[in-house]
Amino acid sequence: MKGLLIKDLRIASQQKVLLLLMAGCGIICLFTMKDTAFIIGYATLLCGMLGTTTCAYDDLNHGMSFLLTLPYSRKAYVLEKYLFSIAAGIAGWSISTVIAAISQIVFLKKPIGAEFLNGALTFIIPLFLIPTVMIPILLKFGQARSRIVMFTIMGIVFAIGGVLALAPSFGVAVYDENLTVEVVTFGIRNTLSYGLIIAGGIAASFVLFITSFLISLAVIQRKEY
Amino acid sequence: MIRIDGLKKNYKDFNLDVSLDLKPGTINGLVGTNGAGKSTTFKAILGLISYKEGEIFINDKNIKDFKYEDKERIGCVMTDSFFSESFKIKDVAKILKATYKSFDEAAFYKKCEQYKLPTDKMIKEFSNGMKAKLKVLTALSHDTDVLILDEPTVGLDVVARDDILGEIRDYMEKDENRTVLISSHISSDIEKLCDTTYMIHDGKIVFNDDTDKLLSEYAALKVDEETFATMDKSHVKAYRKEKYGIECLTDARDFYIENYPSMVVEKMSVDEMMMILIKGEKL
Repeated sequence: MKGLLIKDLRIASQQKVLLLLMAGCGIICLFTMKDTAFIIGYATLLCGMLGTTTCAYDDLNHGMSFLLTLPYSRKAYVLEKYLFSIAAGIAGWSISTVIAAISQIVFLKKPIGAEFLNGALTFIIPLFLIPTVMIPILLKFGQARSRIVMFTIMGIVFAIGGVLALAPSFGVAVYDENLTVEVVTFGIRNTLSYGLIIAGGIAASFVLFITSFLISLAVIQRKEY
Repeated sequence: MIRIDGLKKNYKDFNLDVSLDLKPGTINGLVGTNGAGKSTTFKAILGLISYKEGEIFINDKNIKDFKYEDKERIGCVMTDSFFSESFKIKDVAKILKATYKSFDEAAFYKKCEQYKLPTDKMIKEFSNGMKAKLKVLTALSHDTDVLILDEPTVGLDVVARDDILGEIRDYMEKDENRTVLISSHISSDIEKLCDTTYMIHDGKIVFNDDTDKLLSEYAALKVDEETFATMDKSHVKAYRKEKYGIECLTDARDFYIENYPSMVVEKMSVDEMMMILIKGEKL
């Protein structure tokens, strides 16, 4: 698997200019918005996305056919994709958390408390969710078609949201209007501690992550190149 | 050694039904028209497609049971597939070094230098000839028993083709137990390089023989219809009608020279044999 990891690191390193540019934008936002949580979320999502885009690079110019002739099993290929994406996400999360902590202490003159740590830990959830959603789609549909699939999924989500939002104005009671996000969140926060909610979120993300890995494995085992 | 026993792969409009037995120490050519089944056969050997019937063995081991160490003993070139073209040769070398235990980094760089392949330039900036050479050098960069080469010389000029064929010959000279399977549209490459030639058409091997025998004993018999009706056709493999009469493919050139002194008997290239076998009728 070492060869595959080196391959993906080489691909990631080719995007260093883009990464530096995005990092610069993130740091500017950190100082203008004075919101340390933003930089952590921004860097974690960016690095997580970077990990999964290596799938698209592999798919270019029928590259997958050649890669699968290397002495790695298809399972090893999929496992490496998930590990690389998570590693990239963790790297982004760790570095950004350290930067956010330093800037909070030095520039914002605020101590690091439970609120900061809880905020940082919250971003572990999307770190798992990015490869969970993207890798099976990229493996199943390839680089070109996966964009259409992603847009279709987003379109469906927005369409459902739109229907739910507009339904009451047409007199259709789809849900209880008093049941707002704030009410639900307040209800959960009242019964569970914030730490427990985050732990639950991370555990649920991890379960989805493993399920996604198994789906990707089934996809690649059946796919012909 | 490569052995394919009754491999069957069915698509909507194409069925592959192939058996091959490639002995150690031989270079084997697979020729056929576009869509004949060459690449499908290669993909099956490399484990890139599934198949419900048949078995493929490399070095007496079923490819379905292959582990890391088995795959490491295979080198391959695929016509339209390689590492990302945004890589440089030095990136490829790093990946190969981490992938193959037997990767010979010094020899790889030496060969790249010999063929004037720049190590610090993106592959997408290479010419077709440079890309083809890099693919072959990559396949030869680690210790292997088997080489699977799908159209390694496609689109190349005569000098670049000669370089590549030379590398394959050198590979075989180093170990007499190695086996090579190569496909090419250029019959002269097959004629110069291969010990055995296999011809595939519509997913089936329609013909195979020693290449030396093809070039020395096979011939075209050009006869009129009257001669064709009365001649001994026991050595005629296939025939087809031409403007002047009938062209026959025989595997007994000397027999017709001796017994039919007035008959036109001409040597044939593998391409010409393929034309009669595919377009003509068999006896």
